[in-house]
Amino acid sequence: MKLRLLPVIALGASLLTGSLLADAKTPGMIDFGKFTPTGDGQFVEVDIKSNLINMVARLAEKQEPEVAKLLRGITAVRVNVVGLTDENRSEMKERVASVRSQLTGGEWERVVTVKERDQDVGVFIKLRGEEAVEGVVVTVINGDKEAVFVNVVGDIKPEQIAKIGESFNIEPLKEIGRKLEEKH
Amino acid sequence: MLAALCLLGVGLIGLVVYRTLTVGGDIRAARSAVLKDLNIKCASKVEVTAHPLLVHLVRFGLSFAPIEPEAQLAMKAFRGAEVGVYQLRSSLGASERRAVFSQIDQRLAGRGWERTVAVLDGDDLVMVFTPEKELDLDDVAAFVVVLNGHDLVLVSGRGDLEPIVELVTGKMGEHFSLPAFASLNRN
Repeated sequence: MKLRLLPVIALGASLLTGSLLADAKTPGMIDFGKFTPTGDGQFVEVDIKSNLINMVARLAEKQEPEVAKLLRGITAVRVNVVGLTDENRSEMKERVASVRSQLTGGEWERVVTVKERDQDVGVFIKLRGEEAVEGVVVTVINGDKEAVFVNVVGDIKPEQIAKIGESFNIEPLKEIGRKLEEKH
Repeated sequence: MLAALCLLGVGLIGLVVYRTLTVGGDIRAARSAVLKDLNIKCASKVEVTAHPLLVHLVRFGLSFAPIEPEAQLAMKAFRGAEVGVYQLRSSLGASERRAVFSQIDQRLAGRGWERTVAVLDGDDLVMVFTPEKELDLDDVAAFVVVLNGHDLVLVSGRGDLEPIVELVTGKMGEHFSLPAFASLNRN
């Protein structure tokens, strides 16, 4: 009986190993799962991969070499904004909770927590030693209005995060940069 | 001899007109995904192709015209495009818009496009696709889908991204005070 199960166990183990290795290739990448529009709710998905980022970096190189350098450190940006409807509200809230629990207690660190009125924001980063940020994850539940998932993947110097925030006037990145500077 | 040249000329003009009024495989695939697969009725349609040669001729002509520098810049970037505009018989409901979204997504994914941006908000659906392969700065291709009420617009275009990004980012910088964007357009 045990022998009969052996191939199944071996197959399961190889698949599991394979999937873990696949994740290990891009350490800062988090799979939020597939999102589909439901009901009349708003749906925004931005999925920018390295080919597009490299192209913009090449473009910025001439006039903004610093910005180009920052962009070269980024390998992927994914943003999902899903409007909450009666059909998906509980599923989205569970998904935010599930992402946060996956990131808690491991290599990821929660650097920003905001719970104000009906807004619930969690920002996580994954550091490689003290030298680089491998990933940033932002999860937001905005009352009964929308759920937001953001994942920035790359090899980014901590001090560059604040610079990206300042350059592009993106407040959450400035905040993360400030937190990282406090840590060092 | 003259008759043969006239015939050739007429033939070429006919070919240019035909090629201008027909669109390529990507537009046809997206159109069929909506109108055939989802059986959505279309009241009228306009399909136009601006071939690179035609674009060069227009650009050459416009270089003598007193037009705004922004328009000159946009023309400089533009290489060619295929456009399909379809007026649907009725405005689509939420479930139909979602079906349009997934049908076009699947169809274009099978043709080497990957979805970079998708926005579904109220009556509006906007999708932007870029090629899966490595992108060249001076020859960027994009496929854009816009569904707004009764109107479905499909655009497949190629161009030089640099002038367009300079134009857009410069304007964004002016409006939103983003130092990095504004500085791209400074010189």
